[in-house]
Amino acid sequence: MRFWSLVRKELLVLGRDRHGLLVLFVMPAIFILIMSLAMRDTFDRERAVALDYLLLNESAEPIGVRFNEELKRIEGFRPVPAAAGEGREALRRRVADDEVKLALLVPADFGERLRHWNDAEPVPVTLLLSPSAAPQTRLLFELAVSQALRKLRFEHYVLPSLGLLALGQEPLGEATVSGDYVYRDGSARVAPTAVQQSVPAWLVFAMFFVVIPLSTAFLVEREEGTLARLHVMSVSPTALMVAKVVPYYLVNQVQMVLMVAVGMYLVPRLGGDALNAPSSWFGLWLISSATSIAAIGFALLVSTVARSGIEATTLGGVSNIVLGALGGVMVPKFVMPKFMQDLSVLSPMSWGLEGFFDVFLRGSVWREVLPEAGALLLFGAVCLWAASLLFERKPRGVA
Amino acid sequence: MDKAAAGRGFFLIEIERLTKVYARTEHVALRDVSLRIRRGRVFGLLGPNGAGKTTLISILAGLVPKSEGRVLVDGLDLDREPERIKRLIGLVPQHLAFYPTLTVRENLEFYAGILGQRGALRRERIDDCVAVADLGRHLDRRADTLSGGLKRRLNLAIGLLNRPALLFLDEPTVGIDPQSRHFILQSLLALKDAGMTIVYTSHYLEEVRQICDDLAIIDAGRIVAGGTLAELLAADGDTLRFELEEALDEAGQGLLGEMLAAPVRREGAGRFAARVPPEAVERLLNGLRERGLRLRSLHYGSQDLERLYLSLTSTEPRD
Repeated sequence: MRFWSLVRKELLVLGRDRHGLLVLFVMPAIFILIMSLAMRDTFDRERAVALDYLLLNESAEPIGVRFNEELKRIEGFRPVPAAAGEGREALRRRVADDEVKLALLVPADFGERLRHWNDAEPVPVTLLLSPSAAPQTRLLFELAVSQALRKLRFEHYVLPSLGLLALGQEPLGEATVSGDYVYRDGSARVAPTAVQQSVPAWLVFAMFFVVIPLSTAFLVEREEGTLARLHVMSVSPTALMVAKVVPYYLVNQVQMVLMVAVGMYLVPRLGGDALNAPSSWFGLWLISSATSIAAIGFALLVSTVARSGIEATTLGGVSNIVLGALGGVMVPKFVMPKFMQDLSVLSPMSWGLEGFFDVFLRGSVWREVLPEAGALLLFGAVCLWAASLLFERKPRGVA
Repeated sequence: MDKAAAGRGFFLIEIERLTKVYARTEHVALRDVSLRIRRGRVFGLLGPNGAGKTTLISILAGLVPKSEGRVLVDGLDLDREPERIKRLIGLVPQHLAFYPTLTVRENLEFYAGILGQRGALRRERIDDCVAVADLGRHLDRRADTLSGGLKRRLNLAIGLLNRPALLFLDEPTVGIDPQSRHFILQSLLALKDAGMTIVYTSHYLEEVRQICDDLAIIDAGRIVAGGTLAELLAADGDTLRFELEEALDEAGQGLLGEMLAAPVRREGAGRFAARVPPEAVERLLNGLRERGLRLRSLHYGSQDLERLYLSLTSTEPRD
C-alpha cells in the first residue's frame, strides 16, 4: 500500500512538472523530427536529392560527349554544366566560396591525350573540392567518376582487343581523377580532416551553451531579490545586462582557445588528425566574438522570458539543441533536403558554423567572415534589445 | 507643503491616496492608502500575507510604479526625483539578497562598489557595517556557509552601506534563532538612535511591539488602523469581545445588538465584537442568561497587539 502511494505520488509530481515533461517528451520529439527530416535523403534512395556539381567539359570530341553521358548516369550526383564563358578560374572561385561542394574539369585535349596515352602519365580529370565537402562524398564521387572512365576505356580498349571494336573506334589509355581542395586564398594545403570540420561545429554549439549558466545565475538573482537591491542602488537594467556580456564573452573566448588548442595539440598526440591553424587569426577572433555576442544575447533573452531557473535551463537547453540540429551542427547541411537547407539559414548556429568554416576550411581572409559576423552581431543586438525591453517591463518587487 | 519645508519636516515619508493596480492581473494591491511616517522613528507595517505591505515598500523604494496617488520622501516627489530618493534609501529584502558563493567581504565590497564607494570611504563604510552587524570574525567565509542568523546580519549590513536616511526592512528576522533576532532588533534600535528612519514589516507582533514607535495595520490593500501602539490599543479600549458556545445566525446576531444597544460584528464562529460603554457588559450577561446562551469567554477594554491585529484583519487564514 505504502509502495503504491509512493508510486502514485511520483506520477503526480512528474505529471505536473511541465519542464521535466518538456525535456522528456517534447524535446526528443522535436529533435527526432528535425534529424529525421535532415537525414531523410541520406538513407532514402527513392527520394534522394542528388548533390549538384559543376561540370566543365572542355572536350568537344565524341569521347568527351560520351563521357558526359556516363557522368549523367551516376546516382546521387547531378552535373550542372558550367555557364557559357565560365572558365576554370571562375569554377575554382565558386567551389572555394562553397557555392558547390564539387566541380569536375575535363581538359580540352581529353580525347587526344587518351588516344596517345602512355602508362606513366594517365590523363587527368580534375576534381575541385570545397574544403567543407565530407571525405565520404569525395570518395564516393571519385569512385563513380573513375568507374565512368573505366567504362569508356572498356568500350574503346578492351572490346577492340576482343575483336569487338566498333568501326572507327580505337583503343584508349587510362584516365584518373585527381582531387584538389580549393581555398579562397588560393593556397595549397593538406586536405581537411574530420577534426577540421567537427571542431567548428562543436565550438559553436558549446558557445551557445552559455545560456545555461547565464540564465540560471540571472534568475537566481531575480528570485533572491539581488536585482531589486541593485535597482534600489540605481543600477539600470541595461547596465545589469551589459555587465553580463563581458564575463561571458571572456568565457566564450576561453572556450574557443581551449577547443582549438585541443584540436591542434592534444588530438594529434592521441593519434587523431590535427586541427590545422586557421587561415586568419583575426578572422577567427571576429567570428568567435560575433558568435559569442549572439549566444549571450540569446541567453539574456531566455533569462528574461523564463520565470524560474529551471524554466530557463529547460528553455535554453532545448532551444540550443534544436538550433544546433537545424544549423548543421549535428548533421552537415549539404546532406539535408533542400527545404531543410533553406530552414537551416534561420539558425544563428548555422551562421557561426559557416564563419568558422571560412577560417578553418575555406582559407578565407578576415573580410570574408564579415557577412556571417555581421548577421550574428545583429542577432545578438536584437536579442539584447528585446531582453532589456522585457526586463524593463518585468515586475521587480522587493520579494 | 513645499519641498524645502518638507525636507526639514517632521515626516520623512508622506503618502496621499496611493493606489496600485497590477495591470496584467487587474489585482488591486493598494487602495487609496494615505500615510505619514515620522523622521527618526521605527515604523511598523503589519498585515497578513498579500495585504499589500511588500507592494507598498516596493513603490517607496522605486521598484514598482504606482497607479495613482502622491508620494513624498524627504520632501522629494517620487514621480519627479526617483533617483534622488533612491540615494536616501537602504533596502533589506525578505530574501537573502547577496551572492552565496562570494565571501562576506566580497559581497560587501561588491555592493560598496555598486554604490560608487572607493578607497578610504569604502573601507570606512564596510567597517561600520561590519561593526553594526558584528560580522568581523566572518569576513572571509563564503556567504553560503554562514548560519541563518549571520546571513540575516549580512543582509542587513549590505542595506546599511550607503548610510541611508531611510531603511526598509521586509521581514528581516524570518527563520532565525531568538539570539540572532534579539541582536538584529537591538542593532535597529541603535540605528534609530543614530537618527535613521526605519520602515519595518514583520509577522512577529512581539518584535513590532518591541521596536516600533508607530505602526499601521494594512489589510486587503487598505490601512485599517494607524498610530502609536498606545493610541491603537487605546482606540480599541471600549471594545467588547465575547465568544459563545453556540454559533448564532443573523437573527441571533441582531438579538445581541439589541442587548448591547450597539452594532455587533461577527469575528468568527460564535465570536462577536462591539464598541460599547462598560455598563453594556452587564446587560449582555443578563440577556444571555435569560435566553439560555452560554458564554465561553469575554474581554472588555484595552487589548494586546495580537488580539487587536486579529480583530482588524480577522482570524481566517489568507490565500
